[in-house]
Amino acid sequence: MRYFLAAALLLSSPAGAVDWTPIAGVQALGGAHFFRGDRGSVSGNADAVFAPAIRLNDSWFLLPSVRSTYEGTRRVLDILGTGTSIEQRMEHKAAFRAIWADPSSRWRLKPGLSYKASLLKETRDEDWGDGLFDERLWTIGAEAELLTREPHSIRASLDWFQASYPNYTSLESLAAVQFQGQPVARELVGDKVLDRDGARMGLAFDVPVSERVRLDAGLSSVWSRYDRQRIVNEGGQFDAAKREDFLTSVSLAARMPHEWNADLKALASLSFGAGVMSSNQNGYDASRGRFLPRFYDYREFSVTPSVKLLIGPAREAVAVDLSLGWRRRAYGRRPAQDGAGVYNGGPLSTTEWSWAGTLTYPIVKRFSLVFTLERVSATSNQRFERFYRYAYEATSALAGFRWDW
Amino acid sequence: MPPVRALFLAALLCAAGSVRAAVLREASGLVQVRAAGADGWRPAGKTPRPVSEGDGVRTGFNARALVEFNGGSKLEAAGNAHFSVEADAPGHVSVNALFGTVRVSASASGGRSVSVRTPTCVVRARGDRVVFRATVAGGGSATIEVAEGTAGVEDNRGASVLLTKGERIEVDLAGLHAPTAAPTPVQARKNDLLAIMRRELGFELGRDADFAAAARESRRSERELGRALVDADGLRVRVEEYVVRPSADRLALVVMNGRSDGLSYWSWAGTFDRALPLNLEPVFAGLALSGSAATPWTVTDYAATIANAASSLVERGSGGHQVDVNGNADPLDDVAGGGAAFKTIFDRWGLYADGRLKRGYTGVALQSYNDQTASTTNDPLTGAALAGALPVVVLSNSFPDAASARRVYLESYGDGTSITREELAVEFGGGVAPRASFGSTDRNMELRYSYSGKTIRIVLPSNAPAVTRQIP
Repeated sequence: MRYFLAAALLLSSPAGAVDWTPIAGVQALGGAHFFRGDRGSVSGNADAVFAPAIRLNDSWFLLPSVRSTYEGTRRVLDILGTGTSIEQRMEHKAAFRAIWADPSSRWRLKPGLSYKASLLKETRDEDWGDGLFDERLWTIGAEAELLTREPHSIRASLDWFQASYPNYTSLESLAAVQFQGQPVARELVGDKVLDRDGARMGLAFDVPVSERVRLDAGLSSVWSRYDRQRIVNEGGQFDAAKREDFLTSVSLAARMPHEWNADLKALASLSFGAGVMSSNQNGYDASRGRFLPRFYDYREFSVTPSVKLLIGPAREAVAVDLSLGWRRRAYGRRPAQDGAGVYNGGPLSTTEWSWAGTLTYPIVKRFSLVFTLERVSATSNQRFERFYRYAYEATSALAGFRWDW
Repeated sequence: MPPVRALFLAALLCAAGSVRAAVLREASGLVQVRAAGADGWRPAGKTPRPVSEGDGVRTGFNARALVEFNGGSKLEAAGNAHFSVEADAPGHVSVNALFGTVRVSASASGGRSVSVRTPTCVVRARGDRVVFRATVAGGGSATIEVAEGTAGVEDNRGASVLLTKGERIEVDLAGLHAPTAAPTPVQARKNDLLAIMRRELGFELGRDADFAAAARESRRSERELGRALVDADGLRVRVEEYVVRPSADRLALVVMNGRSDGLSYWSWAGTFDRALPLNLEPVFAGLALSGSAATPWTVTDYAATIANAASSLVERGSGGHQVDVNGNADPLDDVAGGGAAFKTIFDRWGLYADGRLKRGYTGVALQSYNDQTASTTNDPLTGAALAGALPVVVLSNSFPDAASARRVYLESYGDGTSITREELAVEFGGGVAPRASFGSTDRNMELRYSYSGKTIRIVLPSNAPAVTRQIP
């Protein structure tokens, strides 16, 4: 009853005080993915988003949103070294954000929460919902934004999250129960070892440097605590301490718009990125009795120049996006292995070159054809590739449409 | 005062009144003025205050400034705007709008000229009364909207257009775009909402990217460690390999497999003659072959097990001691390279299927497996008498499929039973690899043990059986 009254009050607000507008978009692409020369099956990707944007009054806004994606054709920016060519993925997310944006204030405050279900189907015996790496993610948090010179601003956010993998339980913990009396499990073994919670902190700003250059910068850090995963010690056994990861990334992009004439404009960008993973977890190569301290730690750097060309009248311009990417990741304490798996000293590193081109061709208002071609080439000093490919070439070719409301 | 002089003074005063300077009539929030020729900006201070030709005015966030010009024209600047007064004469007012939004209400009657210059166009008032809004964005592009009357817009190339009430036009470096209908207040409000919320939706997706990156790293590590593989049938098999240390002198190397139909494992558990070091690297390195000198520790007992919930095959050895196999009398167990080569040889050994002895041997301080005595009526480990004599066994192996990497070891027993061990090299991503890839380090090995109609399947992520192999 109370909810009914609240809804009635909301709807009976002075005319014009509450208004809403839908934001929606659908993209559907079909195509093929090639990995080390092997072609995966021809499939498609789809992405749909719907968000009824609501203005309660001049200060308060609500933004509930739902988004669903399906990926049948892998993108080259995804994890590629897995060789599961039939991988399919679905994600469904519902989010709700309230926004306080009083016109008399430079501040905007935005509390929000979200829930996302990620479903993966990697082998032919996995059904939707049974995927080993299916994930459920809850987040709740808030962002504070300080408008500097509209539309530029500084944003700081803090979110708490909980990620669970309902289909992932460590085999060792299951074995401890099933094969009791056998020496098949260690003490302190955890069960839901991938489940984690933690916090995400973000700081971002964009600022015009001159009339022709704008800078975008961001810093974010995700702290993850694995409550069921103990630290592996030098003897390959578990200590009481639990795993904690910090994944921090920094980005800086210079964006330079240029206009030759009404029918030819460009937005050139040069982006730099750095990422640091710091984990207290170690590794242990059991068949060699080799302790691998700080196994997950890495540093990553990337440079991405790109250009977006807009050809034709502004409202129906053909867009051509071209980008080139370079990325290098080095695992500071993880030694590389030779083809037989023998550790040969130097830290493992990977280098990736990628390029991508997308053509967006408007057909009618809000409806465009989209063509995308992506290619990545990766090299590494890691020669042991029994489980994961570190050196590969992959290509994705996709075509379809996009509709925006 | 003589009447003539008084009349002259009155005329002068009237003239002065008609050419008075523009006035900053209202200022709220942060409003600054820069005097013509000056470098610095100063707060506007108390209003009204005069604004002269060449003076600049700018407003801060959410601020507002209202300037009144000669002839009654007015310019109202919203927050974050910047403009300067170019000319302010009785018949001619001109403003340079540099950034932000200004709203102008003017009259061009009586030959007066009122214009607003932007980086990409000039807007001129036409007729008795006109109200228009000019918004200058980054890069100089401008949007002009006419709320009342008529305004002329001319771009930098000389092209011009007349806008009437309710029309808007965008102008950029390339010139005038086609005029369109200006949004109604309701539409404008909706567009404003849409712009804010699209931006927020973009931020929402950005936050998603951080969480997705963390999840991706988590999955990637599991794959790099070989914990999520695909077997020879293309089915998911999860693998975990680890070491268990039940006591200081014992260790077990375990490979656990998980499939949709349950768990299976391979393990090698050894008992040593002394406590082992924390670092097991030298221990594993010397398990199959000690090297040119005996290792400080010796495996005295071991059990190698393949099992699932329904069945098990266990190989047990005891009485382990290190022997220089290149120095014994058996040339067949020599290790290439000459010199001393120490291996652990077990005096007692047995193979058990579901707990039942299939074959075994015994000996005393064996120096070579040639000297072993095959077990027949007693358990080699416990010495207990068996219910019946062990059947004879014939061992063979074959490659049943010329195209694929598949090898079959067969133990045929005289009692009609058999144990089959099938080795398959698994293709990356699933399926059986081609025959040529047998032994390749790029491939995982899948073992299938069959006994009494039951099969135990194990995918091995490493060469664990070779590392721990005790019996040739």
